[in-house]
Amino acid sequence: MKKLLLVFLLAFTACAPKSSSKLDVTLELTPSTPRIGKTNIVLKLMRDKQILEGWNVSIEGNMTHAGMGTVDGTVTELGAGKYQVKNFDFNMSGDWVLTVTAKKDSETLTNDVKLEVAQ
Amino acid sequence: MIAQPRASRFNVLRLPVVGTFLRWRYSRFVLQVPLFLLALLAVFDGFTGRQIAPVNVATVSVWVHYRGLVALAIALVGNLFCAACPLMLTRGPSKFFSRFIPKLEFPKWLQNKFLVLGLTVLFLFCYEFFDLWASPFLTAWLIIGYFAAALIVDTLFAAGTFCKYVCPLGNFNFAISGASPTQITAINANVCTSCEGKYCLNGRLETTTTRAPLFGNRSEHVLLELPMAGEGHATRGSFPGCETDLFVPAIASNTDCTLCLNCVRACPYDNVALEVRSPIQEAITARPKADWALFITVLTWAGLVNAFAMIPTFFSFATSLSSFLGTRSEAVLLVVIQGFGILGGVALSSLAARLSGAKLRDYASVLLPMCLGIWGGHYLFHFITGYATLLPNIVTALQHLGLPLANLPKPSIPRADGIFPVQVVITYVALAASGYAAFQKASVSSNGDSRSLIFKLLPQVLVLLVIATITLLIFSQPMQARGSLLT
Ligand code: SF4
Ligand code: SF4
Ligand SMILES: [Cu+2]
Repeated sequence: MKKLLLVFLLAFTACAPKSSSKLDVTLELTPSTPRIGKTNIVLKLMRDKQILEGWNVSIEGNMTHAGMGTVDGTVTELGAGKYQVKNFDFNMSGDWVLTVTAKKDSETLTNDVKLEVAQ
Repeated sequence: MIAQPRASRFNVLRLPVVGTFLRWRYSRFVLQVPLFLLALLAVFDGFTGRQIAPVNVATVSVWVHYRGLVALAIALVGNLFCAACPLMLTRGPSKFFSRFIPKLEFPKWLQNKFLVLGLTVLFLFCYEFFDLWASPFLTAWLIIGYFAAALIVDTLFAAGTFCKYVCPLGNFNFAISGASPTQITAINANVCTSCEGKYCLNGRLETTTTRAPLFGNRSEHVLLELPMAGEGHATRGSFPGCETDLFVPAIASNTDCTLCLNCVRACPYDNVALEVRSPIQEAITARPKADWALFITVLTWAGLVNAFAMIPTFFSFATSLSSFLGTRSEAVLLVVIQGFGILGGVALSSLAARLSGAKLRDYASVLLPMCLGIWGGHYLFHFITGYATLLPNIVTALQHLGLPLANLPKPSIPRADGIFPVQVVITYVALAASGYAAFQKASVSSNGDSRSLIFKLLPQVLVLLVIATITLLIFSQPMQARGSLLT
């Protein structure tokens, strides 16, 4: 109960929670302006201007509207800080959020990237 | 004298298990507690969880499940959400605060539906402008705001003021439950005529020797000395009456009925039924007051505008409007689109009523089935695509609270194409129901003159066809969930 109260108090005083992250994500999409359908994505991952190599990377796509399920992609490493996601399924048009998570040893980095998928 | 229910009428409260449960004093509380806990969890997750709407309990429970189930329950049974409304758990605290704060009288000029109409329109604007559906954080604030408003209003004013005059959700439910298949009725009107205390309205205070209406501004000050008080159905205790001021034998619609069943427990003669009725009965017979007629009409057209805001056409329309008006202000564009849609619709409905030789209130109830169809068809879309997304998110939120639960897999996005045929059926059923109600209304007022009937009916049918066509056009489009109006 105390924990809950504390959370409430914190929430009342804080601004909207921020997703803290040190992960820099650059997206290359084919086709370059995403449309409904399968899309190939290349992620370029960096931290403090250093490329990330040999990390275990996962990607999760969500729309910004509640009630839409989650789309997962399979990530393979290409080298030189690049990771590939083949046939990522943007199955509805609108605002999407791609959550990229990179893990290595006991470290986890994550970031949300917003993009719009056209009709 | 205990009246027997008429055999032709089906009383839900006579059902074996369900009926017994509903009549039980604490049934409402039992239904409220789980919803209250869910609301707490939604607020917790909204503030602390991931700020992505589909993976947060706040956004999923409010915008997918709450909305979907409200409409479904109203179409199939009745206003079940108000019956189980967790906001009413603020009754305890507001009673406590009332000990220190004197009760005020809710201003006379606010004792109508105009305030809640304004609040509803304001809410619909905020919903689009702040993209409430996309923000767990704002949704959590919305939940808190609702609880705070219920607490404050019902502390300062008589209990029930919030439900009747302030709550947009409640009044939304009152309106669309105009097309639901149940209603509170008196079993035997004669029993009511000879009823000394109007307990269903005033409440009842029963001891072993006396029975009286509950004191307060509704009290009729009848104190009966009863040798048999406190027996049979008339159990001893204090039973509040109808908080929204409905008098059972006079009830002709579901307007303002929260299905709290206070009346059932307050009536010492067991004379109150939750009766199964035709879902279009109210559309045919009701003649709402001007303010409520306006509310129903606005809600119907607002349902179209709200659904329109989810399809690609809306965004291209906003873009053209932006260059036409020379503004990129989302607020201005939204006000113009919503204002045009709602006011234009109300003007059309008023014109149709005028052409039918009547006032808006004479034909407003005809819209009830259509109104339920539009909102229900839209919410059903979100509910069917998203019903499976709540449980995994609840599990994640509970894990954050420290419960050792196993992860549930996140459901993938279903293709929503299969829902369109269902929406088409809903729209046609609603159109047929509203059309039939219009026909009945027009026949009554034209006294068998078929020429007059045609002239009265035609404008109503045309408006209904316009509404149904727009509804189908919107439902047939693919959904596009987008935050910003302009690119
Ligand atoms: S419903 Fe019951 S309490 Fe209300 S007027 Fe009729 S008999 Fe009296
Ligand atoms: S007490 Fe009033 S609001 Fe409650 S069920 Fe009876 S009529 Fe409806
Ligand atoms: Cu929608």
